[in-house]
Amino acid sequence: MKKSIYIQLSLCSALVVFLAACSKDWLKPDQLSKYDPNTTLINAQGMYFALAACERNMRHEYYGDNAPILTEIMQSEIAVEGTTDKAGPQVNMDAALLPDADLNNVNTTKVGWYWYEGYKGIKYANTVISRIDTAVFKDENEKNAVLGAAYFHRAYRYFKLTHQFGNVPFLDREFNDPKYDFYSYDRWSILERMKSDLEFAYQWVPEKVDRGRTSKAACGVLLMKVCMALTDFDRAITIGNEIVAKHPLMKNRFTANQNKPNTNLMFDLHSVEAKLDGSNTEGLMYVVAYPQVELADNPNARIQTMRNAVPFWNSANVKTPDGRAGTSVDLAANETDPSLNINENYGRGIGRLRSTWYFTNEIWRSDKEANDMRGILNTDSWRKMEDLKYNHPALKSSNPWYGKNLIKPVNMSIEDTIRCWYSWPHYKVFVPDPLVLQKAGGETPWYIYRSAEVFLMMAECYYWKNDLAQAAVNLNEVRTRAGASPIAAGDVNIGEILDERARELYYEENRHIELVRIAYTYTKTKKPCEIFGGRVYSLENISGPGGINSNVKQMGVNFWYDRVVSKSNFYNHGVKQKFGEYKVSVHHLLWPVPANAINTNTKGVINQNIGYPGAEKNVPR
Amino acid sequence: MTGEEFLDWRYDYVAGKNGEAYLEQYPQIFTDPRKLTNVNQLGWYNYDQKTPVTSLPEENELLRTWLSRLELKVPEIDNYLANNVTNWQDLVFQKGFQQDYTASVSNKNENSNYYFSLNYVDREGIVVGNRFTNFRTRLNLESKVTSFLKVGANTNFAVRDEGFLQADWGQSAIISPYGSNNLDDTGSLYRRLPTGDATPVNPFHDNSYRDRKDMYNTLNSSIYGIITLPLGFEFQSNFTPSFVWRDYYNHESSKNPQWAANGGSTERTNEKTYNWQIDNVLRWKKRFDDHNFEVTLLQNAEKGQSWRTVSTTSNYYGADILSWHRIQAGTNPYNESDDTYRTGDALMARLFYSFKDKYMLTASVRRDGYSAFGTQNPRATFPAIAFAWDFTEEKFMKPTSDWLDYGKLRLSWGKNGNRDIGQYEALSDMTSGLHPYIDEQGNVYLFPQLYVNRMANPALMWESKSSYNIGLDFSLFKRRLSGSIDAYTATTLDLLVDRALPEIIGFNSVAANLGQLNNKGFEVSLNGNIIQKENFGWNSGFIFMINRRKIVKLYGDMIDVKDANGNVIGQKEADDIKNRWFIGRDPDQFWNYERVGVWQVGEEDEAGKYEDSAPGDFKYKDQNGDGAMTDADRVFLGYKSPRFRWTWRNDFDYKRLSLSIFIYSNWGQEEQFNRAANNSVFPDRATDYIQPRWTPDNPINDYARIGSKNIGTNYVERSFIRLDNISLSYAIPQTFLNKVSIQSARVSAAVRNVAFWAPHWKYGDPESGGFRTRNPNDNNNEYTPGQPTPRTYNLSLNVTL
Repeated sequence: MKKSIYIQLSLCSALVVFLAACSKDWLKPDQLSKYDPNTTLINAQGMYFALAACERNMRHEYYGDNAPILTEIMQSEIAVEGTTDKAGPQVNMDAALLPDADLNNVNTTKVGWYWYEGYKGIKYANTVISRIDTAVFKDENEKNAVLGAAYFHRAYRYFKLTHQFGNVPFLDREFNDPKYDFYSYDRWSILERMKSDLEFAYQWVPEKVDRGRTSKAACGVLLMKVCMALTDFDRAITIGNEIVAKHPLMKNRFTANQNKPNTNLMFDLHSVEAKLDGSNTEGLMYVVAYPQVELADNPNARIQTMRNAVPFWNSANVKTPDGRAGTSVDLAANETDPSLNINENYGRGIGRLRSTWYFTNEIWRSDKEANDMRGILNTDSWRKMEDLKYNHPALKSSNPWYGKNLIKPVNMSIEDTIRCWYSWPHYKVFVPDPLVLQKAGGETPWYIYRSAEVFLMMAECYYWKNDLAQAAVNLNEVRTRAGASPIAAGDVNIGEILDERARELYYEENRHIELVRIAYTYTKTKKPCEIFGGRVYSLENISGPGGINSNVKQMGVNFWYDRVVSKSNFYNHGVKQKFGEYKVSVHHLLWPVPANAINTNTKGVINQNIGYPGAEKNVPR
Repeated sequence: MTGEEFLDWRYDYVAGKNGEAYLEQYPQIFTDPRKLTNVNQLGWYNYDQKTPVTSLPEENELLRTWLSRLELKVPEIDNYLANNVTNWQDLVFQKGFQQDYTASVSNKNENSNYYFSLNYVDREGIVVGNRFTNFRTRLNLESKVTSFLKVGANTNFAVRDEGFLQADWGQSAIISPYGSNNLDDTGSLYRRLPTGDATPVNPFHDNSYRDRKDMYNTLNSSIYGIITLPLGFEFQSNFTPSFVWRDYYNHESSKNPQWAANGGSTERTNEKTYNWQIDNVLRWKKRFDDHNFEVTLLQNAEKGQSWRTVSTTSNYYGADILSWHRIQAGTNPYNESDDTYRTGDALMARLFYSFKDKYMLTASVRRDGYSAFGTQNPRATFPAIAFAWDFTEEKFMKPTSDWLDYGKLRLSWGKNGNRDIGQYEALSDMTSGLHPYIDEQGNVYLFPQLYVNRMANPALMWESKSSYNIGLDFSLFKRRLSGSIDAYTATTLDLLVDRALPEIIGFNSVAANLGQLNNKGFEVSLNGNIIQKENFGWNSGFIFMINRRKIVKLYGDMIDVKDANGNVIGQKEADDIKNRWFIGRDPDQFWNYERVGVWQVGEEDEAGKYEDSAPGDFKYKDQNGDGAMTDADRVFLGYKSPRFRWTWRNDFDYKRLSLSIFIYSNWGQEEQFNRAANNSVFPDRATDYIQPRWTPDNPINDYARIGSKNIGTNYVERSFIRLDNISLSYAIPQTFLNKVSIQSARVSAAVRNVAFWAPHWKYGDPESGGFRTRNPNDNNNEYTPGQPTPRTYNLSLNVTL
């Protein structure tokens, strides 16, 4: 009996082999759990999946520990890198911004992130653009809406790249084969192309979309920025007026929090609830995250604004006046006073985004911003270290300072004041963080564009057109909503406009990009810059004379440098910490192209920016 | 570190950090108040008093002030004053006990035979909690059905349990000796965080809130039939299925304060792998006088499949007491699945021919197919030919036969294939995920996102290596000395690599076939029966190996070579700088900045040019003197792989005792040692292994200051000689065994990893595995050493009934 079973088995196996090997498709690969682009990106639905990748990529800029947006803020007059306990963070740009350095790292800078992820975003958008004619759509409207949204995403990246890296390679289609012969394109021609793409997008992308998706208004804002970069201020003003007519500012308190004590309209506007609230007309484009929605563990979905921007109050060097450790994340077991829970109330900051005096004090004038809900003079909206209380459990039974307000330690070192002792806009960076013990800032939607910025951009357009009265009108829309007093036409200058942007758009705008855009505009318009004694800037040598290690620190070369060193109390003011001195040079207007991009492009030349090693190998383009 | 070492270390850190000016303003601020010179205690105490006191507080108060200035945390200060010192290393490392039991039975008769065994293994590692158990059973059966047909099956089944939780031993290196070790004190604030700071974590805490099951069941079988045909033919058919089932269940309890906000979280992963192979082999063996033929024909097919499901959930609102037994109680269910599929086949023919058993020729050809190359080039052909000559059989060798017992010369050429790539590397795939949006009602919902993740390369093909080998086998002096000598050169074409792309294209790399890599090497193996006495024997074996590799060709991209004036003077092939592959170089050679010591006091200005380096930081050579470190300053340094290796085995027999000693060595390789920069921990919150450090008073050149800035990579030679194994065994006398009816019995003891000598490498075991983290933007793949290699002591008893 047994014997016959074995015989059958062995014959069977021989038969199986015979069949298998003869089959033509035997070695055909089959990705069971992965999609194939050629069978997925064939209709509107597939295209919206691809656009979702663009919108997710857009989100990463604002989220996580040392989010890329911090680099944009630190390369301006608003803030600097406050980390003092390790080498690597971008303190001295002469050292940190080099093509061979690690340019995309939590511990250094995210300059490389903008390059690397910028081109990723362009790839995602180009996937849609290249396949638009082979995909099937319901009608021309649907097709153009998809194409418009893809144009928006491509332009969103190129707008950043042309202001961060200047002349960059221009890829306008999907690449399915290796390519090693890229060249840099003139930034102005890229911007011209973006302008026409965005006009198409502004025409076809629908007004009403779910939050997080690309809207007509978003295409409009980006189109305005591109128009401004190309000095077409009239077109920008026309679009701006169309947008604000449909999307007025929020002028009254809203959301369920409107009666909460010690809050105001600015708390409402920047709360998680506001970004979900259908009555919010001000938001034009969002990126979305929300607690417990993305169930796969995703640390990068948490905004971490508090970790980044709140001072490192938990440092051992925040001591009581009698030299004891003063603060703690954990409270004493029987502590019931909620005001002692610093971690819960403000988040455990690490003081990475260290604001400058300009941002914490200079722009909040005792007369004009006395009642400004966005400013430090409003004691609900901002917090000072002195508002926190000593809460270390070890102090509770024995030390008189327990429960008292913080007092700056007498012998606190400069390093520790950088990281541990400054004020911050609580209303903006506070985000509940329900799922972790050490509060950093949890999942929340975030604004990409708001109508308030549109008013400020229109104000700037009128400034360039020398219509200061209209500029004041637009600035005052934003100012009076926040409780600041209106300013007069005669007071308007580029400094006032930039101050207003800082007041309104902290942790929202790409501050460095905006300064660079204005720097280019001065060279294009030849308008004398009134805040620097009527100086006229030139496009030629905008990055300075160049040369390895020249690190030129001279006023008058470009507006970005002049603005940063004249307003920041850190850069080039001799402020030192263990791992370096705060320094910038004129060529840091534009960032270094990562060396890897240049090295791997063996058959072509991607130009390096002037002032960085490698620029000597550039070819004219 | 001991308490004292830790305080010295911390002193060096805070004094170094605050700088001269601060120390001049506050003399001896970081010095132990009991050891002040020229500073009075009251003044010293008042440095950080907002309102200076007029009378000296008690000593403990002074000590608290001192330790706070050294940035010790509250529990650390309390433990210092109470003299509670914890040696964390002692807590996390243990002497692991390992047990291994095997019982087997076999039997054989004319028509059938069988073998059956049971085996149980229980192995503890050197880290507390590291353990696995394995139960294995094997059954081999063979039956002769008729005179020409034999069938059989070899089957084994195993159950491996890896659900044991290992202490987080890495933490033991960074918790200060004054950190609180009070896991059992449920009222303590420092159960999880021994210093109260977020950085060091008690290595046992989180595991005490984990519940894990991690079971692997494996079933491997080989079922075969052999038919003996007339005229010397034989046909064999094998079917080899292999199953692996893995069940990984893990629960993290909401009772852990750290995870409480998450409400408990659970993962249940079930994975099944099923691979099979079929081989049909036809053999023909025939001898015609002096001519001997053996022909083998093989046909093979294989398939590999896997299915994996991951279910996770979290937020049980505290109702997670059922652990992973009831995941539907969690409110955040999430599922994931991933299935894979691959196929392969092969055809092979081999002819062996020998003439007078003196001249031997083997020729073979095989054609392999693999689905990973399935789009265009699934199959490739690999021929081989080998010739051997037993020259001692020749007549003219007669005169040497008194000392040369045996000598054989071998020559061969062959081509080998390599298919070592991911099964889907050649295909473009789309990564999918879910991304949130908000609808008009303010509800957050998820929507699929898709993007192309990999660039396809439909032309991807087999890597092939053709090698020439010349070898000599010999045996001398009545087999007292035997050995072999081999030399080879190999040329690998179409290497399977991830070719770097300009990242702006949206892909970092593409699976590609790289040009040509040359490889040559030499091996000598000697074996000597040095002493052969009735009661004493010494046998010794020595092997020496050397190998060199060189990239000859990459992708064939030609670039211009320019002279100093920028004129084109020729062309050369482009290197792949991102991957650190250079024409004419070994891919294992490091290309980086050259470290030339440590910046010393007085070199501040020069050091500052290089990314703000300062005295105490590693100094790297600016090769072209342009004041900036760029690719132009990178030079070729040492090699990752050993320049040569050798092994030496010695066996001694004395009566019933036998002793075996095994030594080996890898020489000339280098590895990263960035920990010498003393910057791998947060020195204000943690501690580190005790190792040298630079201070102004200790201006050494191979280690940096605490918290230094390291702008390059430090390489240290990892050459070593290791005494790997000593084992001693004793055969119990037969006369004794006969009395208890045992056939044979042997007791043996062995020590593995006895000792090593590494003259340059000071950071633990020179062979401890370790891993490299790949940073997409920087190719200096940071190296992290693995855990120490354990030394094992083994005692075993082997009994045959």
